[in-house]
Amino acid sequence: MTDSLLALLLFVPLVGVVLCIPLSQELTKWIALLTSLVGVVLAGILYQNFNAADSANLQMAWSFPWISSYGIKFGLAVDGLSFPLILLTKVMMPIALLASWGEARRLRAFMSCFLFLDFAMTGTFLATDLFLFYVFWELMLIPMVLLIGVWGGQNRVYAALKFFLFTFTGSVLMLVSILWIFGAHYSQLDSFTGEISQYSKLVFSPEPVFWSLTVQDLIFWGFTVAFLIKVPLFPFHTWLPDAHVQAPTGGSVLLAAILLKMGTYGLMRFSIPFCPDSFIKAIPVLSFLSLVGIVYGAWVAFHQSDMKKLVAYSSVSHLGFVVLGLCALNREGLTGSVLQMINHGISSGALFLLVGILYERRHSRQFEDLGGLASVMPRYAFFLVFVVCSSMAVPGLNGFVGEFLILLGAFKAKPMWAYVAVTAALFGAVYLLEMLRRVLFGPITSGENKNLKDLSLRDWVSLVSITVMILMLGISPNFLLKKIDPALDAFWKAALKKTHVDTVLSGKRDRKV
Amino acid sequence: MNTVVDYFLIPLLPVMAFIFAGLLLILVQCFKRPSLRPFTKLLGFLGPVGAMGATWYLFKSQPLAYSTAMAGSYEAWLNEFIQSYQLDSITMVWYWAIGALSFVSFIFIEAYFADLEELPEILILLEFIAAAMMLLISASNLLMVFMALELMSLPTYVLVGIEREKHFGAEASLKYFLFGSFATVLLLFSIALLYAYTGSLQFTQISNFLRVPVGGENPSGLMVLAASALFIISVGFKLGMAPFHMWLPDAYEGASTPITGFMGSAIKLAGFGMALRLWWGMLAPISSHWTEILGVLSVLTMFVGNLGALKQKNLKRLFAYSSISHAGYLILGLISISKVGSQLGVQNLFYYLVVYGFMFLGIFGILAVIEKQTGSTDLSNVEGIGFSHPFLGLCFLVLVLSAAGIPPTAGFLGKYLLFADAVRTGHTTLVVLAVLSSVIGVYYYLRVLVALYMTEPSQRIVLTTKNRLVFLGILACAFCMIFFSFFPQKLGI
Repeated sequence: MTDSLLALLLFVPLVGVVLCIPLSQELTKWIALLTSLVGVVLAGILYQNFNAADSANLQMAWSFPWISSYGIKFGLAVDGLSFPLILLTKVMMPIALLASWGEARRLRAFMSCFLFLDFAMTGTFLATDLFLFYVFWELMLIPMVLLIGVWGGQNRVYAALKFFLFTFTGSVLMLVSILWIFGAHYSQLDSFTGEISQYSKLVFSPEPVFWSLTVQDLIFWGFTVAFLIKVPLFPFHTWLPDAHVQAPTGGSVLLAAILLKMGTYGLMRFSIPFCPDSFIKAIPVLSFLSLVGIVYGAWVAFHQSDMKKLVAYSSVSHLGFVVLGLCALNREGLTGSVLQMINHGISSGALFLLVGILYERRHSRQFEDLGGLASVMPRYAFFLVFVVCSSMAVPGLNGFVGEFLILLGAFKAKPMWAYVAVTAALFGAVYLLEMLRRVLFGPITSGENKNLKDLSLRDWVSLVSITVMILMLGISPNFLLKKIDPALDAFWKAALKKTHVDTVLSGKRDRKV
Repeated sequence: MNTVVDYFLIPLLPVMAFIFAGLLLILVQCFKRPSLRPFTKLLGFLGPVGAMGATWYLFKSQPLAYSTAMAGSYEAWLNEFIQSYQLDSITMVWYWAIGALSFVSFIFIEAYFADLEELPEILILLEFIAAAMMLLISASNLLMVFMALELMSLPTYVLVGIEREKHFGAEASLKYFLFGSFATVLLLFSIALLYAYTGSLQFTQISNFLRVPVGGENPSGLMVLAASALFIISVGFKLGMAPFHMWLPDAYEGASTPITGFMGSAIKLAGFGMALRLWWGMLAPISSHWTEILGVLSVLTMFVGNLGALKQKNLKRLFAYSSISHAGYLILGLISISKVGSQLGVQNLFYYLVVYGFMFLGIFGILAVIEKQTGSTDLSNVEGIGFSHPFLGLCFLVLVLSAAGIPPTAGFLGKYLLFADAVRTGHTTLVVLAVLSSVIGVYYYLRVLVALYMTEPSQRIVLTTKNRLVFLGILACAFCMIFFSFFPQKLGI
């Protein structure tokens, strides 16, 4: 079972797609739900079988040869970095699906896109081969673009094109880096390989080749820009609000919960281990951008009049924390970043879900149309307040743990970062509470709001499961952390082993490297 | 005792299959019986099927390396004749590809021209073109190259203008003819220069001469440089390489849609086969003189193709420009074959050519169906097809994604392999530019995707065709895009 568990995790959604083809439109919904629930069960089995003590290494490997003359394999495996994200993906799938349960147009194609997206996302996290990773990375794009462009809102084509072009530009830069590092492996070790773990062995010459950038820097930035666009970090974030606002609810949930994590996952899996010197060199830039993103995202979110856009900008702010945690180069920051990735996945997925629930009933997301809903939809109000609390990191809920650890790590590395980030965290509370005030409280201004229905059964199901996750991660994050602790312990040491690891980790690093 | 038949005629079997089918068609056509028409249609497939069968037979029987083994055992003129044609394991695979591509395009062409009286003539011309393509790929003598190229080009000029009532076709035909014959003249000139310098028409002899110049003479003499420059121009014309690409969009748009499919896939494959032989088989010793120029031109070609396609409204023209950009990637692959006989590089080029061929063919197969029903191939004519015709839409989607080079299609793998080779041989800057140009390219492929899936159709289109084989052909092309991506070893990678 465990031998092929990862293959099952990957291919079950694809089986769902195949099953969808001959069935009637209405039935495909249930097939999709069933498939994603099977995914949840498989994720549970994965949690049971995952060897915590060995989480620093790849486990449950499953592979077969693909392009042998170039050493490319179809290889899957899981380790401490990808493990939590796999769980997150599988758990969020049925929730996202339920969020779009009301979709009526072209159901079969819709569900196929959904399951295909699941397939591609799982593959991206599981791939142990650089080429395979890229294939899955790009594969994600197509169903997502279709989800936005076919089932989206008014401005869907524009948003879909923008999303595609932004991400594709990044991907293509990454492709150059992949080709380059592929060639570098050949010239240094005289063999082709796709194995990701092999590339951290490469040593690059410190000679600059382009202005002051070395080969390593160029490769690093190729990868990193692709990931930063996906995260999205500050100057690359402009596709995000458009894509989120136009996407159907289920698409938004997946986009926020999983797709954005690909960027930070990529930083941890590729950029840092492949090019540690360049990463250390880039820390000033990356930390500056993430701080700007944290503050700017919060600031812009505060000024939105559209609820969904507000949540979208809050993602920019929250994911800035993740990058900041990585820049801190210490255990606290790393743990915080990993937790923040999961937490953001859950809370912002939940926020998009709640926005979707409201939109389904009111057909508007503008604050001026809303207000006073707490008296009409008390149960909805409860969950919205709860999720907002989690998103603004109230102690006891999940958001707090991650954000606190990141701030701690940042403070250790450079107190200034923590000062800036803390003010933004405060600001986060401001815009989220402001959102609550304008949506839930105050007098009911519009007559249409008087007769809104409260939560339906399927909303209850997904919201309660989210609540459980929020509480679990908030009260005892250990159930996750104990599984990946060895991986986190080993991460910096393994990733930075090519550099002067002791001086880097003890904080006495030379900033002018 | 091996006879001249074994050494010369047996290797020519695939070529002869096409020529035989062509001659047979002429014979049948003499009777002018309408009742023979179904038979004619069937007879058309004799060429591709026979050629593939013959190639398979050659594979099995593994004949020797003919020309080298025979040198000197016959009279001089016969030797020259035998050595003008060289069969090796690489060309046999290329034969297969030509057979398969011709087969699929014959399906599209027969369906498209089902009601046209001149269908048998079209088939005859196609058979001869296909035969010439095979000769071209395995030619090892400059005269053979010239002859095969002419045999391939002349019927193509006719085919472009075969629908006489279409103004566009006649114009395109004339344009193609003028440009094409100009390129041929330049080719002839460069052959003359090389002959004057080296005293031979044989690739191997010329190559040896260039490698070891007689009397320590500098091989990069002005004459050789002029000859290789003229080769670049004339072959560049045939391949649609910028800045010699002007004829291509007009010819591709003006020709009947399935004919364009044939031109863009099979003929391009043959053209690159010729380029491979000319440059790496003959001019390899002076490769430092032309790889740089070709590198720059390849990038120029990509940008011209991708920028030109951006604003096109007509899908035929759009994909004509896209084929220019693909020629650019292929030329990049061509120059990355750094050593003569570098197996991997040639295989990668072949992989990309076959994938590109089926992709182009499939796209034009779909366009032919659309044009047949709606009368034009405007972008607006495919609006909403993704949902009203899920099968065609999905095939179109896969083919377009492959053209854009997006995984998991074979178009991506092909690009990846070409670029990986290019980086390995030190053309990193070119690869960066190539990749940037493909970002531009993705925009117009996306426009097709948007039209297919995200636009509400302005009119309701019903696409049907009496010939079910067409759908099978389209499906086969789309299937190749996925299949070859997961089993690239089937194409030798």
